[in-house]
Amino acid sequence: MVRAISTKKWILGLVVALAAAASFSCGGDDGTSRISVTLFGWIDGAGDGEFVQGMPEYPAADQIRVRITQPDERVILSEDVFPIVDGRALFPEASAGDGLRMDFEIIGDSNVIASGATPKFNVGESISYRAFRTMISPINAFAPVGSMVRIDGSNEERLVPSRFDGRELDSSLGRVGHTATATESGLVLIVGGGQVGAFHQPATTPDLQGVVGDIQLFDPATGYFTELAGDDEARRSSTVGADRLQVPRAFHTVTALGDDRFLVVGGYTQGSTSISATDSIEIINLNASPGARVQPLTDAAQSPMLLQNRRAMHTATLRESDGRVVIAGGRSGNEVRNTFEIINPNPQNPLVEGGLSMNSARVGHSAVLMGDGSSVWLLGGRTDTEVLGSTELISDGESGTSSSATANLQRPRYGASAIFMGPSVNNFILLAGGFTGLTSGATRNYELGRPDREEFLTDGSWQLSEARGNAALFELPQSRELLLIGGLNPDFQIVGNADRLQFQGLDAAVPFSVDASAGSMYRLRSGFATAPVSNGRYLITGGQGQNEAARQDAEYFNPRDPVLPRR
Amino acid sequence: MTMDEIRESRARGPRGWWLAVLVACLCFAGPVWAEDDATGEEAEHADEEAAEGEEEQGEARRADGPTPRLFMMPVDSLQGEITQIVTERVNESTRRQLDSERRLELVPGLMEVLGSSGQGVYALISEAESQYTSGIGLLRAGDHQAAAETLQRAVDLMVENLSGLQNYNFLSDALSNLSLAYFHSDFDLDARQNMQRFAQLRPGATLDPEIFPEDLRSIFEDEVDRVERAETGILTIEADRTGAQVYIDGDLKGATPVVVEDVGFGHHYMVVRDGEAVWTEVIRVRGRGQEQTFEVEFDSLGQEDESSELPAYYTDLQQNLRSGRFGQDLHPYLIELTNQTGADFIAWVLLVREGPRYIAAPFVYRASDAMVIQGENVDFNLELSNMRSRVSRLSAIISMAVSDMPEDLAVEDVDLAPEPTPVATPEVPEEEEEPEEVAEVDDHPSDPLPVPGTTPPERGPVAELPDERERSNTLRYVGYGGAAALAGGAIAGTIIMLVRASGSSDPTVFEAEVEW
Repeated sequence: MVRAISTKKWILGLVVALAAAASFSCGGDDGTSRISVTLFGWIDGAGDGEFVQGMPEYPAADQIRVRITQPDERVILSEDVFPIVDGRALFPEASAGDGLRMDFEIIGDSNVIASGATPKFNVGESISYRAFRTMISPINAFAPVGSMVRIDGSNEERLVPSRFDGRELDSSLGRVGHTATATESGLVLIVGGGQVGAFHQPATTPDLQGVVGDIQLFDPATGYFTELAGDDEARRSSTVGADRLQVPRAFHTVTALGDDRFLVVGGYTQGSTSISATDSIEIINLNASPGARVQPLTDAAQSPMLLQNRRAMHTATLRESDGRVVIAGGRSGNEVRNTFEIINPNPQNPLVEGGLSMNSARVGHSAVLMGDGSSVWLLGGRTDTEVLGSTELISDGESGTSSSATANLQRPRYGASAIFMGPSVNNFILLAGGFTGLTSGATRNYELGRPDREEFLTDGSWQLSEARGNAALFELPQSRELLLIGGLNPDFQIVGNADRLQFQGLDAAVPFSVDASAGSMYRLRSGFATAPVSNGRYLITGGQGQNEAARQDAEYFNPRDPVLPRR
Repeated sequence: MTMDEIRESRARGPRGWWLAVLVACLCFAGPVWAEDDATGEEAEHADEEAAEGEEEQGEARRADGPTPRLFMMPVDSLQGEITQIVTERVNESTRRQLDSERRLELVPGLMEVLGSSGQGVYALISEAESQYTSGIGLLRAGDHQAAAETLQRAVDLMVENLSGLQNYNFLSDALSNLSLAYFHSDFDLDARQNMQRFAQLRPGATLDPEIFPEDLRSIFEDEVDRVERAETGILTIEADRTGAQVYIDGDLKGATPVVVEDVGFGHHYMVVRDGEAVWTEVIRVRGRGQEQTFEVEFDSLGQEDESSELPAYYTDLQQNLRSGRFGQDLHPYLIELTNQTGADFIAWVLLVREGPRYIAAPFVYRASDAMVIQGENVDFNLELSNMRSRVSRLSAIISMAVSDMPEDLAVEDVDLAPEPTPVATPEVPEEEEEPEEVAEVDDHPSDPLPVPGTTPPERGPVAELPDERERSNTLRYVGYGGAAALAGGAIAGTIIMLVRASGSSDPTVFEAEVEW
């Protein structure tokens, strides 16, 4: 029998084919999405502390616990503990899904010493690869925000403290009176601000040396601040002032409206000779095309809509019931405002309803949205002559929206921190700290109140770790504990630590237990802007040191709020 | 064909060049296709954008006409094999998503829809409303005794079914009118009692002097005065579960354990809810700052047999769907359900466990022509960590189905139930005997690869040793063979990578690596 090709040649060809197929099949990705995380750390060392590539040498640290979680759902999908000496941890088959996060806890002597987390991410149907550089830092402590930069003229990379993006500005980067607001994509939006000269009393007209109109986005995945107007596409749009505020401002308000739209209202702007309050209203829409992300609020005729009264240092509260924003109090020049306005930012039927009377003129007051999603409770505040103990409730009635007087505070105060506690605390609001004098004085006391009650509840033993006003107050999403950061003490000196409040019950002698953070801010500052970040930390930006210029850097507070699975 | 002819044809043909070009193309193309830089976020957004895009198209298609009403059966699992926790989660999320769909109107659940058929708490409250309306009519018509009987029935129904009472103004109004009806019927004691209850519930009310006589108004004012002097009590509500929501007279007071200090003296109506469990109680507050404790024991309520409150056709429908085998036999149930609910469409979703995932199979029934369609399956991972995007997809499919009802998706008989595993007798393949025979037979149609450790089968006629000319062509043959092998490998490898890149690999998991 004659064969066309010999056996050996067939065998050779077949083996080569198999090898070729194997070479194509193996060695590459195996068809599964991959998340790769590289850790770096901040360690408080001698002197200033330092960033460290890899795992810092925390005393007694020997293990790292890694969890894959869905924080919003309060679910822990995977969890394991690895020896730190291994240098590596692997989850070969972690569950895909939405809103995932990888949480890391450094354990030493059975205690959690430090922690960190990636920002939230999604892993979906198609194969993907994503890499994160994640910072580990001591828990319940402050640390500078780190980012990797390449040293000019070399290939060397170094971890450095992050700063505001100054590529487009020719002025100082430091700022006060700016705002920080979390976006729905896990970034933080920084808007406006200015530089101040001499120290000013809280809730009084600041000595602004200049204001800026830039808008920056902070990305926790990289630690970078990036100005929207610095976007290449925005530049190419050739729109003058593209992606910047049309009216640069400080001491304004920015309110998240949902769908990554934000309402910018009022504030101080720089005139030709002096600063003045503005009546400007602008909308930031991060989903719009680059170059068109900042627009004034306009009516059907495309004319800009304005506040009825110019104001700065006012409060802005989003009513969840109808999406409108209540703008209350504030000041303009030497006048403290006794009016409130309601803005409907809906692009289909925008409206500004102004000239609504308050019971008292007030600035530096607290404004809290109540449980009905519609009523806004104003508490305390000040005028130029007195510190207020009065409160008033802005609510809808048959004849429209009006304000009615409610019970007085036990202690008149302004610059206090307030939060609605919800049904679990009988729908009370907590009002903590605040300033008690026009030129000095602060309290460490807190009160609980409700609009339908004749008086606020308090006691001499209901106290924070120290007296402070103008502190930032947040509710931790997992433990529901409260976090109070920074502020000024009775002498208007900077308070550098944070208080953590845990609710004990209304029937307890002291409703909240208070733990102060062990350490202090990396750089003492007041007048900063803070926002929660999807990596579980709180971003503290800008502000002003004691007798210093405005700051351009940022730091984190790491509260360690591990995901608590639903029962 | 002779060897020379074969060699000559290979040397002549352009196939070698084409082969090399193909190999080169495939070698370059394969890695490019394999590098999928799409991020997880883009894929997820693609799902949701697709759902939104379909929604917009649906809106464009439905230019006018009433919004279709959809009744959604609770999500269930095939033969009840999946835990209720999973089906309830998917059900809750899907209903919420469908409720926000602009293309359709989601009909409330059956218990809320059932009216005067007299079944279920909401039906009873509906009956109470009906009785109340009749009682007011009788009162105005001057038939006071009949009005009193009717209004008493209304109040009794409401108090006995507090868990379904949404509007307490309704109860307070019934109390005041019942008092009036008793008064006019000369039942003074009953009139007084009901007016006092009304004052305790609504101390801030005012009575119309043109309707309520002076005597009743005096009773009311005296009771209000007593309530105000007594002030409030300190009520501690505790339950065998924490976090249960406490309502008194329809107002949310907090979650257990809770201390309530703003409820006045007298009779009040307490409802404590923890998920599906509801505790109701008429409480009497002593006021004067006195402390009272109320214990709520959800565990003592026992399992409510909800099915006993549901009509038989509904429970039968549920059982049929759960079996995974249904067809025309469903139609009488579906017709009855559409009649009862007023829905134009009925949708149901069956979850099936398939390896490391749940598959959700959606169906939609159109009442006008009794057509049933089966939509595209949607899969969830076992941890339901991709719930949001999958529910978005599922509700979009259902919503599109309601809009379009594509005939090519119509089904008549459905069988989702797993086939019983066949007990098959494996056929003895003839080839299995061959190796033994092959070892003994001299004549082999082809030469098997030698298996290590075995005696190579006796080979057939051996080709003649290659002559010199054949040896010199070996390289060319190897080259052709190698190129063919490389091409084959490239094709196979590219196909493998394409298949992987298209997501046929397991998308429900990912690999996470951490380094420090």
